[in-house]
Amino acid sequence: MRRAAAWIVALSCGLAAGASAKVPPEESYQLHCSGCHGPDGAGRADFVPSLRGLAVLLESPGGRAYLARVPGVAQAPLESAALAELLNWVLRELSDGREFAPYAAHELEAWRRDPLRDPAAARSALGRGP
Amino acid sequence: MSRMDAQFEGWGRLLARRTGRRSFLARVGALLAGSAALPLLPVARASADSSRVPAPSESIPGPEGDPTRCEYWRHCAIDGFLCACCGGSATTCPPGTEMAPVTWIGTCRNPADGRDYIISYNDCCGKGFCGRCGCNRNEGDRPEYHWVRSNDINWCAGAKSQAYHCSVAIVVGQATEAQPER
Repeated sequence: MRRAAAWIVALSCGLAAGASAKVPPEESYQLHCSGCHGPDGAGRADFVPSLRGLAVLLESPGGRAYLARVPGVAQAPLESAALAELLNWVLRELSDGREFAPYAAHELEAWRRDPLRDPAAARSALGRGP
Repeated sequence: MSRMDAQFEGWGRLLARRTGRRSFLARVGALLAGSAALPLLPVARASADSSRVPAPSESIPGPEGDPTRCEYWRHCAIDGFLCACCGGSATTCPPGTEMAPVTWIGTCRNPADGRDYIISYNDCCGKGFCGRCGCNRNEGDRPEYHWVRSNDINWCAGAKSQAYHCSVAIVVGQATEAQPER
């Protein structure tokens, strides 16, 4: 009986996790970000923006929406839950431990439907950067 | 005198028929420049991080295991000339070309172990088309409006020269599953 219960728990966990295997955020980073921003997130001077120290952007008004609406984030071929995990991983790993409030999937849902039309202008409008 | 001419001409023609000056010069040149330039190539850094990179079996029989063939398993989404046929290898650029810093990244399944691996298709730039071993496999390739996963655009953007020469296919990690767009 106990074994049957364990099986039921295990099965329902499997269903909750979805059919596909769980992809760790560092692997999502390699697949969706590293091609242009590089394996270390440093980007490429005057060509690809750096992802290092981005957590500071969340401290300015509009920064949180900005980061969710940049084309690379908003249009990533990922469900919002996996996208939130990836974005939080980038902010955690590449911002030298700076505190930030992690993104939730439902936050991204709304913002990514409205990607930025002029990301560079939006970035200068924020008035600060890493 | 004419007999001597004829003799030399005969030798010359024999040599030309049997060896091919271009391939000989290309091989010697590639060997000389390649062995000197190998440690300078960015791929040395890519391969230095052995912690993340698994060692997929290379002992796959047939074209799936041959880096000079389009059917080689890492070439599942390649569109271009194979650097392994152009004086480089499946992971290194030929001498005189520069590896583009931005790349197309996708996954390919290794038939040896049935697992998916993350592949970086870096273009080698700075010389005209290589013209050898042109391949066009498009597994996981997306239209250009999804440019991050499109192999039809010139990935030499970001390199000093945008002249496309050939492409490499570097394993950068193991994938939990095939890329989501496939």
